[in-house]
Amino acid sequence: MKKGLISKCLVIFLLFTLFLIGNVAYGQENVWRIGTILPLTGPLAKNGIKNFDGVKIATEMVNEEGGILGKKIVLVSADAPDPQAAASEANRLITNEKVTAIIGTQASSLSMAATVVAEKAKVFYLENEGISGLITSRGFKYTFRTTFDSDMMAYQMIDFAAEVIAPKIGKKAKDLRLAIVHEDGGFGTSTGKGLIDRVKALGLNVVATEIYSAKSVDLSGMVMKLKQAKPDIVLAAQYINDSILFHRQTKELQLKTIVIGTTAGQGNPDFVQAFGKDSNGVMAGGIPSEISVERLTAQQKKDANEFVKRYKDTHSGEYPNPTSFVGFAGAWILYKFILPKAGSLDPEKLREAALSLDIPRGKGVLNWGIKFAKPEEKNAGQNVYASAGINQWQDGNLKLIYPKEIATADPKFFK
Amino acid sequence: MDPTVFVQLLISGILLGGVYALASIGLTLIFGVMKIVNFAHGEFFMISMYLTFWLFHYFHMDPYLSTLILVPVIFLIGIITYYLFIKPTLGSSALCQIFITVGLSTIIQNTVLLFWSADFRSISLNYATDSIIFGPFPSLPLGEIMVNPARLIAFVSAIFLSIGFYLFLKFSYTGKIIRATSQDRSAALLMGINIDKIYKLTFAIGIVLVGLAGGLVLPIYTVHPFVGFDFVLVMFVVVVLGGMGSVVGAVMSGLIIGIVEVFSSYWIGQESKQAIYFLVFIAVLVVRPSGLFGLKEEEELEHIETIDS
Repeated sequence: MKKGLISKCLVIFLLFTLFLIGNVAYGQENVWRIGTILPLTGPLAKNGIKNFDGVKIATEMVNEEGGILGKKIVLVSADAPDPQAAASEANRLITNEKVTAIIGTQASSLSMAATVVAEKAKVFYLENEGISGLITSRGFKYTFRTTFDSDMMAYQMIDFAAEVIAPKIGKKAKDLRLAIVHEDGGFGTSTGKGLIDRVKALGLNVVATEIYSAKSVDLSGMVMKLKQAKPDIVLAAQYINDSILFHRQTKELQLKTIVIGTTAGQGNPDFVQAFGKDSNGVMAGGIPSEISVERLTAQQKKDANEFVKRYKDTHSGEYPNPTSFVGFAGAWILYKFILPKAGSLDPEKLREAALSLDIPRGKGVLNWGIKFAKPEEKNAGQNVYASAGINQWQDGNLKLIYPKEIATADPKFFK
Repeated sequence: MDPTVFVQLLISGILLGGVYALASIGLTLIFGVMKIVNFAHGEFFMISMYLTFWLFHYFHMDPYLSTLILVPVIFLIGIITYYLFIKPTLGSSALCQIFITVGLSTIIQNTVLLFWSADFRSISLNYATDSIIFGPFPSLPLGEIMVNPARLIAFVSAIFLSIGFYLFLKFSYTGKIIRATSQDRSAALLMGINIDKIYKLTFAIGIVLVGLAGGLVLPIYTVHPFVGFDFVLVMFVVVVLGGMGSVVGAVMSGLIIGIVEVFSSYWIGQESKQAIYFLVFIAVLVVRPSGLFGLKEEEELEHIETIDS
């Protein structure tokens, strides 16, 4: 009995010392620890991993330059396949890992869950991809979004339809027959709302609005309904799997129309894998697929090219996925603009530094500027100088076709 | 309603029902004979979609031709799964079996994710996805009706497989033993039937059937590690609605669900179609608690008693 007790005590003592040593070890090192919350397994893993690749490359690049203010960045990564996991992992990073700044979360639903935890604990949270308008509508003080939001993207999709497509198909914008299709999750709903708001503001004509679950295995009823409505343009907020199914079934049931999807669905490389030549002309609003380096400063151009090079080196020559771009951009804004100004990982200082930034478009990262909306403004924490673009599949390449100032190709394939 | 749209929806519904039926026959068989609810069923669907995809990708093998390779491979996978995961749980509680199959499902999904990544992969097979257009038929009066060959093949296979399987169960010696085992395990054992062998065979056949379904729908659907999830809920609805253990019931209820789904998404809206088919599902179960073609209650009760003892 006694022997057992002693050995138990010894084990506990050993564990305790190990714990202490561990703590001291990372306290001593000259590093800044930053949490990341992304879906690395589960149904969202595809884009989560690509986003993380972007964050990792940004981290590598600053560390090789000698870090920030002499401190190397160490990422403490957490895997969040679903909203519950996002919340519990945020909790773990904050309480166990003592992290005070977090980058995440790729999907809006995950972001909504994780940011609540961070806000309560007063931890700085940088959202790099989730675009739902809800994220910045709650007046949170510690949540900042580096990328555009669903409204910015949706407005651009409608503007593009009215300005560019209408004349190409010989119609006035007011005579266009628009149809709106969106999945019923946070992403689809907020984008759908943005599309409808913009349509109303411009006084355009919507002939059908269809809502569906992204997990559907059949969309034929919906496609038939759309076919009856005879739309000129279908604006679709979909994910990859359902966008492929949607296009398969529009082809099956011979619904011939112009489709503007988003980079979450139609703009994904898997889309072109599925359709080959048939993908020609399909458009995707959202993350600009390419950086138009001409507009950038010399330093930015160098950084952008370096990122593309490193991505290609580690992904057998593939051009970076749009998701990797925004992952990179989020981390880059933190490393190059916020952290040097804050000078520490104190969330209050990070907040102040973020709010004080006013970098004009084209001088930040990608083709964006950096200016976060103040807490009293409508979209608190939103980078108002971020912008979406419209991309188009042209012979297997996703080309940036709108807005004109940053476009890398002309819109094509209109009959 | 425009008659062309009506006929088109009906055809789309029947063809979708064929896919559902095809995917569910194996599940109902395994349940009927072994009384095991296989929650990992969707994962075998996913694995065979992947196998077919890789055969197409690396060897440019036509997905319909590659079923010849798919069937033996997936049969073997079924046998291995039976020995490793199903056999040890045979005498134990239903709860334990649920844990095993749910756990197996998670393991398979994440192993596939690890090796083959979360990419959404699909094949482009134009002869199977370009619709055949019938009509217009001005005399009826009907406009153009579109039929998708890949869906038609899946539907026809579902019909032939279920008829063939029905005949096999009804008339062949092995079929008779399988039925005997499903009706009364203890009596079958007393008659000298090798229960272990029958279970192994049944499980493997069930997996082959869902595997065939996976291979045949690859031209229509995208494969990713979680594709099983998208199908498994509807598979369970089909199996329970048709009567657990009834192959004919699975086909009939697959068709019913398919048609209800397509029409309700046209009339009421895509977002509420699941609510509609669950309403149909509940309504049928209220009238016939054991499903459309299920055993009557008394028989079911005897069944459960014999299993418990």
